[in-house]
This record gives sequence, C-alpha cells and structure tokens, in this order.
Amino acid sequence: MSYLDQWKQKKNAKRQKFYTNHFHQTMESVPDSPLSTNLSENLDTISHQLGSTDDLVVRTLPLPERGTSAAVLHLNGMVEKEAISEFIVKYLTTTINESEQPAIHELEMSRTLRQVIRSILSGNTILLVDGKAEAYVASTPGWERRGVEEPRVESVVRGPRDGFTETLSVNTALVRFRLRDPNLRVRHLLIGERTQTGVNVLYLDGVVDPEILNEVMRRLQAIRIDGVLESGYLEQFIEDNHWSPFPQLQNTERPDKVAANLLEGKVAILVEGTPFALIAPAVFAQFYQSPEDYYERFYISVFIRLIRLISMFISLLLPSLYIAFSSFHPEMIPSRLVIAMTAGRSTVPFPSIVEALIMEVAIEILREASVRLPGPIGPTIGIVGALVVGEAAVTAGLVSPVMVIIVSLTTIGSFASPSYSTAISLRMLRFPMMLMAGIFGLYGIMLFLILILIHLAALKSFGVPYMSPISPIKIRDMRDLFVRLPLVKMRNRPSIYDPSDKTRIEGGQRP
Amino acid sequence: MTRGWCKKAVLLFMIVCLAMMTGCWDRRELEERTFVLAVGIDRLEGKKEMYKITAQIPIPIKIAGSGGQGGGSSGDAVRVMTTTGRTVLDAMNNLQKRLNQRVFLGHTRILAISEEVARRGTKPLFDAYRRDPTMRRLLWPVVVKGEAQTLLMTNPKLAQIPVVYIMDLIESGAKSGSIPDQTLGDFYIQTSSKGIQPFMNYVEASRVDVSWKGIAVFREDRMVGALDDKLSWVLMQLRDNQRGGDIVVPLPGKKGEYLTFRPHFAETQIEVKHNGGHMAHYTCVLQGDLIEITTEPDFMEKQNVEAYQKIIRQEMEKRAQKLIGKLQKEYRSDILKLGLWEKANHWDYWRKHDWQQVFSDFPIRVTYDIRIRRFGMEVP
Amino acid sequence: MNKGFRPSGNAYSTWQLTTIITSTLIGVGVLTLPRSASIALGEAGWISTIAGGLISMGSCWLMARLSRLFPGRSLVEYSPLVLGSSSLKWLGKVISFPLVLCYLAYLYIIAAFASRLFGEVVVTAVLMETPLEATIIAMFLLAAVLCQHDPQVVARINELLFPLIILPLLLLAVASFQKAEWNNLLPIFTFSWKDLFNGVMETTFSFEGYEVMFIFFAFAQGGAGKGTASVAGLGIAMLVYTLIVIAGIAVFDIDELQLLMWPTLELVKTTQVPGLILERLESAFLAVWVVAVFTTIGNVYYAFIYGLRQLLGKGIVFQRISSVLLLIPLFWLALQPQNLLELSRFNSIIGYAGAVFFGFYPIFYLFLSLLRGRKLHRQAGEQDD
Repeated sequence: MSYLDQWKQKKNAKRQKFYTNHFHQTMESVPDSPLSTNLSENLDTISHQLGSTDDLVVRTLPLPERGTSAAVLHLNGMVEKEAISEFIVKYLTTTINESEQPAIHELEMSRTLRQVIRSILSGNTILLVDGKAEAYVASTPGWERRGVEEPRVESVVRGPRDGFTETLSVNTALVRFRLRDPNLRVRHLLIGERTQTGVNVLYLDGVVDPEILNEVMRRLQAIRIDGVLESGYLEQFIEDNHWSPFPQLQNTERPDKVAANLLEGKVAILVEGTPFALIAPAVFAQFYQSPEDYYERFYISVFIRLIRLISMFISLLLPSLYIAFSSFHPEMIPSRLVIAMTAGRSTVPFPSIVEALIMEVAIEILREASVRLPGPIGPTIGIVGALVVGEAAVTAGLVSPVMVIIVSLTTIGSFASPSYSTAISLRMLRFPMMLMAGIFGLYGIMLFLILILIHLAALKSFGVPYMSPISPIKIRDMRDLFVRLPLVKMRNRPSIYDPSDKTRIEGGQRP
Repeated sequence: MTRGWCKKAVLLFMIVCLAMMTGCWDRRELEERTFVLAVGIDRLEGKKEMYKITAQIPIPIKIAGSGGQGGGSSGDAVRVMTTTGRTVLDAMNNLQKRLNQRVFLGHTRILAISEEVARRGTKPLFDAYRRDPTMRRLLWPVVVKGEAQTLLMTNPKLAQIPVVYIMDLIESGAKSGSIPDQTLGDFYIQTSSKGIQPFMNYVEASRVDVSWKGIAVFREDRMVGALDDKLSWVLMQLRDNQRGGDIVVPLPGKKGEYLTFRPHFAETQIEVKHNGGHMAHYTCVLQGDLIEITTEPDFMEKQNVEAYQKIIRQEMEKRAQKLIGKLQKEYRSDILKLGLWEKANHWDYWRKHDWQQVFSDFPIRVTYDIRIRRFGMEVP
Repeated sequence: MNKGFRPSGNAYSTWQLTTIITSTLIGVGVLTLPRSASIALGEAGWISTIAGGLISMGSCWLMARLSRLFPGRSLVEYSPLVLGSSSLKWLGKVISFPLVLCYLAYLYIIAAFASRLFGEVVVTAVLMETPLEATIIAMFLLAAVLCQHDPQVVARINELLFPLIILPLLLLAVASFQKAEWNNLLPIFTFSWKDLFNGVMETTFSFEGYEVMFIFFAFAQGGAGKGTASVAGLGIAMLVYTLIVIAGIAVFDIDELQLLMWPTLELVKTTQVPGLILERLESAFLAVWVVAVFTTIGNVYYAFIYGLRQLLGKGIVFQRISSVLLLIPLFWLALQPQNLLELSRFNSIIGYAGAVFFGFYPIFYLFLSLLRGRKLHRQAGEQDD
C-alpha cells in the first residue's frame, strides 16, 4: 500500500467521523426504543422529542365504554381533518366491537418511538391507546397540493399534457398509469437527515441493466446531506463529474418522457416535493432529442431533430464565428457583404469581440429578467427590451446591425433546445468560445471545440460513455441518433444502456 | 480526487497562459483594413523601369444599403489611388504610406495589367502575389488595352462599385460561356506548365465604358498578341468545349444580309496521327439555334437546314483556320492545350521533340459539324 | 467518482484501432503531400502513395502480428520478455532499455517536428502576426490535456474526430475534380524503379506515425482484429492520400506543383463551392485540419508518455505530471529548425531513420519471439500469474 492510499484512507475515515458527529440532532438521534404501555408517558416522550412544537395537535379521548383512554396525534395542516374526525374519532367513540377496524385506507402498527415520530412528521395520524405498547398509524396525509397541470418548461406540440406535481405518490402513479407492467418496480428511499425526503427509484425489472441500477442505488444511498429540497440536490451528488458543464442526468417534468426512458432501460428517480424527475444514465443525445420525436411521423421528426441540431450549433458557435470571420478572416465573407459590414461597423467604437460580449451579456440579462418577471409581463418585456435596446444601440452606432442579427439568432437557437439545462450549458460555453475566437480566430474555435470533445469523450454517466453511440460507435443505435428511423424499424432498445431485454418491437410487422 | 485536481491545474495553467499572452495578434477589425478591390499595374510614363500601381478602394459608408449614413448619391463610392515603385510590392508599400489602415488584398477581384507591362513579362509582377497567402487564386487577371489605370478609373454608373461591374461582366460572360473563365490560378499553372501557354482576357476601357475585346495571347510569361472575340470563341470551343458567343454569318450572295447562330453545346475531339507525318485533327460539333435571318434565303425549302449548316460550317472553319494560323505562325504560342494532349498521349514523340519549336509547324486541321436544333418562334 | 465501475468498456474495438491509425497518419504531411509525392514520379505521383501505403501496411500488420503474441502488452512490456530469458530477466531489461528508449525518442521528435510544421503553416497562411510559439503552445496544451486521461479517452476522441478529418479531405478531392485537367495525369509509366524507390522515400513522412500502435495495440479488446485494423487504417489513409495527390496533379500539373509550398492548401484556394455563403474556404480548411494535426500530435505524445510511464513502472499520476513537464523540452525541440527548408531536411532524416528502424523493429522482434517460441509463452504466462 502506497503512501497515497494511506492518506486517502485516513481522509475518508476523518470525513466519516465528521458526518457522524454532525448529524447528531437529526432523526438518528431519536431513540429507537419501544413505546411504553402508559399513554401519558408516551405522549410526554413524543411531545418532548418534537420539542413541544405548537403545531402538534393532541386530542385525548376518554373511552369509558372500553375502560381505557386514547389519544390522537397529528401535525396541524398536514392531515386530512375530515378523515380523522369521520373515521378515527367516530370509530373510537362509537364502536364497541374490538375486531372492527376503522375505515381508513392504510393502517399500520408501530412499536418504536422513531417510527412514530417519523409517521407524525410525514403527515400521518397516530392513535395511542392506554395500556398498549403500540401505536396505530393511519395514513391521512392531506396538505394542500397542486393538481396535475401542463408542464411549464417542456411543452410539446403533440403529446400528453400532464406533468409531474410536487407529490411523490401522484408522480409515481402518473408513471404507473402509463406502464402497467408488473415489472415496473419502485424502490423507496428516505434521503436528507433533516428533510427525510421520500425518493422513489423506478425501473423496469428485466429491462434495466442491473449493474446500472445497483450503481444508482449505491450512489443514492451514500448521500449524507441535511436536506433535499429538489431533485437537483440529488443530481449534484450522484453525477460522475462535478466539474463538467454538461448535465449527466436528464431532468424532466413529463411522465411520458420518464415512461419512454424506463422502456429504454434507464432508471428514473422521483423526488418528493418537486415536479422534476431525474433520469439516469444520460448521454449527449439529450441535447436535441425530445419525446415528441417519437409521437410525430418519421419525416416530421427527422426534420425537427435536424433543426434542433442546427440550432444547437448556432447557439454554441455563431457569435464566435462572427468574431473569427470579421476580425481574422474577412476574406471568407463575400466581397459585397464585407463592404456592407464594414460600413455598419464604421461607427462602432469596440472591437467585434467586445461588441459581441456586451450584446451576449445583455441578452442573457434580458432572458434572466424575463424569467423573474411576473407571468404575462415577462415575454413582453423580453421582446420589447430586445427590440428597443437593439434598435437604439444600432441607431446610436454602438453596435453593428449584423451583430444584432447574430445575437438574436443565437438566443433563438438556444431556446430551440428541448431541455433547459442542456441549453444553458451550451450558452455558457459560448463565452469562452468567443474569447478563443478573439485570440486565434477560427483556429481558436477549433482548439476549444477539441477541448470540449476531449472532455466529452472522457465523460461518463453511470458507466455509459457520454458520447455513445457515436463513440464508442454502435451502428445499430445510430437508428435513433441524428435521424430516427420509422418506429417499425427500431426493433431493439439502445444497446448503450446494456438492457437485459433487447427487443422492443417484433420484426416483420406490416399493416 | 487527485485526478480532478491535476486536470484543473492544467486547465488553469492553460487559461493563465492564454491570458498572459494578451493575445489578439492577428485581430484586425473590418474597419481597420483597407479593402483593395482591384489593382492595376502600369509602367510609369517617362521612367519605364518604374511601376505605377493603381488601387481601387471602396468607401463603405458611401455604399447604399450599408446601414451607414444614407449613402449613395453623394459622390463616388470608391477612391482610386495611384503610386509608383521599383517593384510591385514597393509600390504597394508606398500606397500603404498614404493610407490610415492596412492594405488588405484578400478581396481583390480584378488584377489589371497594361498591354505594355504584359509584353515585358509577368513573372516579376506576380511573384509577390504568389507568395502572399491573402491573395486569391480565383481573381480575374486582365490585360487592358492602353493603360491599366483606365480600367480602374471608369465609372459605368450601372453599379456602385466599378470593379463589381467589371467582375460581374466577366462572371456572367464566363457563366454563359462567352468569356473564358481564366483565373489567376489558371494563369499561374499555364505559365509554369511546359505543355501549355497562358492567356488572359483582353479588355478595353474608357471613362464610362468597359468592354471585353477578346484574348491576350502569351508566350511563356510575355504577351505576344491578341485575338478578337470571334477567334477567342473558336479557341474556347476547341480548347474547353465552351460554346462561345453568337456567330453572325453573312449570307452568300446577298450583301448586307446576315444569319445568326447561337451555339448551345460544343464538343471537340482531338485525334493525333503519328503514322507517316504528324497531324492533329480537331472535330468540333456545335449544336445550337438559328436565331436571326435578316432576309429570305434563296434555296429550296427542303434543304434549308442543311444549307444553313453548310454556310455556318464554312464560316467557322475559316475562322478556325485563321486562329490556327495566327497561333502557329504569328504568336508561336500553344494556348490550345495541344502540347498537354501530346504529352499525355504521345509521350515518345513529346520526349524527343521540343514542343515550343515543333508547334508552329505541327499540322492542325479543324473540322466543324454544325447541328441546328431549333429556330425560335418562327418557321425558318 | 467511481473509477472502477464498468471496466469492460475500456478496451479498444477494431474500429477504434482503425481510427487511431488513420488519424495519427493524416496530419501535417497532407498539406505538402501532392508535391512530395510527385517530385520523383512526376505524373504518376499517386503510385508512390499507394506503394508507400502498402509498405507501411505490411509493417503495421507485422506489428499487429507481434502484438498478438503478447495480448495486453505494449512494446515496452514485451521487449524485455523477448530479449531476456526466464533465468536472466535483468539481461532482457538491459538490452531492451536502449531499444525502447530509441523508440520513445523517435515518437518525441515526431511530435515536436509535427507541431513545428503545423505552427509554420498557421503562421504563414492564416495568422501572420501571431507568434509561432503561441500556436505551438496552444496545441501542446491540448495534447497535455489529452494525457490527463485514460487510454480509453484517446480511442474515443479519435473515433469522434475521425469524420472531421476524413470528410473535408474527401470533399476537397471530389470538389477539385471539377477543375481538373485529366491529361495532366498522363503519361503514367514513365518512371524507373529507382524513381519509384525515391518517390516512396519522399512519402515516408506522410506515413509515419503508425508506430504508435506498438503502444496502442496493447489496449485492444480480446476479439478486436488488430490485423484488420492495421490494413483498414492504413488503407483509408492511403485512399485519402491517393485521392489528394491525384487531385493535386490533375489540377495543377506537376510543373506548377513543384512551385507550391502547400499544394493542398492551394487546392482549396482554386476550388469554389457554388452556392455557399462563405467565399474562400482555406481558413476554414486549415481550422478543420487543426483536428487532424491534433490527433497526430496528441496520439504520438500520448503514446510517448504512456510508454515512458510503462518503462519506468509508474502510475497515472506520473503520466499526468510528466506530460506537462515534458512539454518544455518538446517546445525547445520544436523551435530548433530555423526555417521550413531546414525543418523538412530534419523531417526527411527522421522519416528515413524511422522507416528503416521501424520497418526493422517488428521483423526483429517477431523473428526473435518465433525463434524462442513456446518457452517465451510460458515465461509470459508466469509473469501474468
């Protein structure tokens, strides 16, 4: 064992110790002790563990008919009150027969303090009976929640209109509803020492590569964090390379996209409290592929996909190409155009690189501002801002007219991307690309492109090379790469995810 | 852990390096360049060993539709500047002294040389241009009758930039096959090749007019003479299978009456016989339309087409004879590409003879085959 | 980051080996190729690229054959096995050390001169005011970034960039055929055997670089066809080269060709793509050509660093650090030739040396290992355990 390994081990041990000390106040600190038979004693312990918080509702019910007393506990606002009064309280006060169960959908028994506490915090109702060392846990979560709505970010022309909500069970059901396969498995995890966020890992047993699934589970279980408020928390913990500008997990708020990806043999991660699901592994194709591609007919989807590819290149390269052409290689611009461009630039006081940077930053500000602005005003401000500012800048001779066209095309191009997080990564890379173009011209652009490609070639998402199926090349998977063949021809699942079941369409089908 | 650290270190090093280099050595904005659209080369009047260089430079804000301040009507859209020097480059450097921005030859589209300069040889002129990477190979070199300056000084008024006008003139002519598409690159190749002699387009210019006059024939790098438009078209048909311009033939027996034939396709085959005396035989098939007959011809209706074809054929063969005669005897320059053909197909003969010497006595026969296809909207 | 996960995807496939060979070969040499190919053979210059290609193909095939005897091992690893015996292991190491060092030095020099030539082209043709040093350093840094990664990344980057290298050259060849004068290619059979030999020697520089396979064959997958890859890889390069040479001769004629410093670049200048927004594509061509140069310099430098790492028995950390440090002498070496003429003289010396040396290497090792036959395998097996 080398010195390096020793050092690593030491460091890991130190880190472990740090975490165990750090989370001493959280759920782990609740003793996993059995409940007592004494009702008031139990009530005291629970109230003590919750720090006698004021939103804890305790209703004690003397039950003279049974010769005992009971208590109903829940957190205010997190439960469906009707269910409690209708079923539990009524049941307790009216029913004589012991064997009859209260008409509650899910009823469990808990024997330990920790379980009880966790149940209360998840919006369940606890029924404690004096003289019994166990608690009834009735599933009555009923806080205010948003209904199923159309996804805000990923809208499609053709395709289902429902999107995920903030409720994990609803989201899981939305996927289940599409995949009535007994092999659709859900694994429930609780992540976050303080938030105790429910996480559902969905996969199709017999389709997914068990290696990938195990890796996803391993990485999820290794997370030690105080709180998970959005799936992005998890994404940043389980991604392969934190320093990469490219997203290594796909996120979506469309259940149909999740279902489609599960069918390809990927793993979906749904997180309580956010409409964004994660899909692992992700490859570069996510930059220009959308579920809609499979809903539309062959030619349409091929055309749209090619348009997206072009717009991807435009959003990454156009401003840098403008800089390279205008200040390094003017011989490449047609003679007539070059004279017109020179005239347009003659009043501009900055070099084209500065001009481009100013405009690009301005348009990014506009974009960000229009996201923050309240609903109906946002787009208006965006358009008005762009038009008015652009026009004024040209008239004032601060910016050349061609530059305005370039910047608008770039921005429009980046919005043609089917996913926001991929679009933004390309928009970011545009800036160093512009700098390189400002130093070396086309040569600089090429150097930076090679640098990006080296990074992409080295990048992996859960063991799947990011650039597959282009590299390593998989000819069969090319059926669904830049163009997509008619669905009938796409007989196999993409082999890059190493699915256990390879066939998805029976061959030789004819209408 | 170490892996990420090391990669970051390299990246950081790279960024720092780039930043330290304070780059942008070659960055030169559009407005920081002087685009020279055309260069004219003359000998200086009086001091014949000096070159006189004329450059046409556009004034961007004066160009209409450029987004500058209105532009257009007020004054010329270009400026023509003239300098002198001992070599072409020297003159160019002298021009630079008078300009606020760097001269940029990447957009030079016309290279005009005066007949006098051309007759003295182009090698010393073009060496600097051959070494200059910004210079195009696809620009059009032309020989100007008289002073090259006149071509750059003209203002045909139909286009804002005179050079663009000349460029379009040659370009559209080349596209329709009536002006040879002879670029600077072609000229270079023909100058260095042993089996072929170079030529250039020959133009004439006045204050408001430019016109294509034919072809200037070179031997080695020196101009030796010019061919008029009719002979140039024959050359184009024989050499490049290009159609050439409309052929106007006087009708026999009728004074002042003409017939016009517009060739659409030309296809030439060369046959060289080497058994018992050498002989090159060109057979050119011209297909095209009869587009004008100024009067009713004399012959019977039935044979009309054959008769027309015969008249045209005789005329074309006469022209070809004249062309061959001029090239062989007068100019002794093989711009026909025959030498290349000889070398490719009859290596033994080529190896034993000096083509330059042999060419002027090499028997060449040209046969035309005219095929009239259409007569327009009128019955002939 | 979990590095050990899914190691099965780490071996090179046949296609990846092919792309590595082709993209290592195609590099700086392609710009001068039409001229150098036609110096000795004239109109029939394309024959020299075919002949040169076939010879290199044979040599590379021998390398593949040799590597098949020692699966999973590079030259650096099997050289002491071949040269030593089981009882005298140190002897093998001692004899093989200078041989391997020679090989590595050769790679190092190729990388240096290729980058210098690249810098010269960039500085003379597009970025005339940019210092030569800046262009070379930028390229070196990219190579160093490549060296930070596992060998698998080399294969993938070559695979990714392969179309970018081949397609522009093919397009150029096809597009320039419209300007071609086919008679320039005739007569064909006017050369002697001596001319052919000279012609092949002139093109060796264009075919150097496949020697990196001494290292890279070691990463081949169990089922990967190394022989197929060497034939295919050199075949593709040969095809592209031949097309470019034919295009060059047909467009320029051999007399003009001898006057052009970078004939392929001039070929781009004479070719006009109709209906394109952009006019002169030579800058764009050079920018794409940067990719071809990067794969040459990157692969060669990676092979060098990896070989050095194996020779000294070090790990990936050594590779990462030394790849950066060794750039400094590389840079110094690249700046040694005074001008292009001197550089091309050095290049041809290195090219000849390499051709003779590394034509001989595989034969030598193959001969020895076949001679020692079974004993050697037992020995190799022992080492594996």
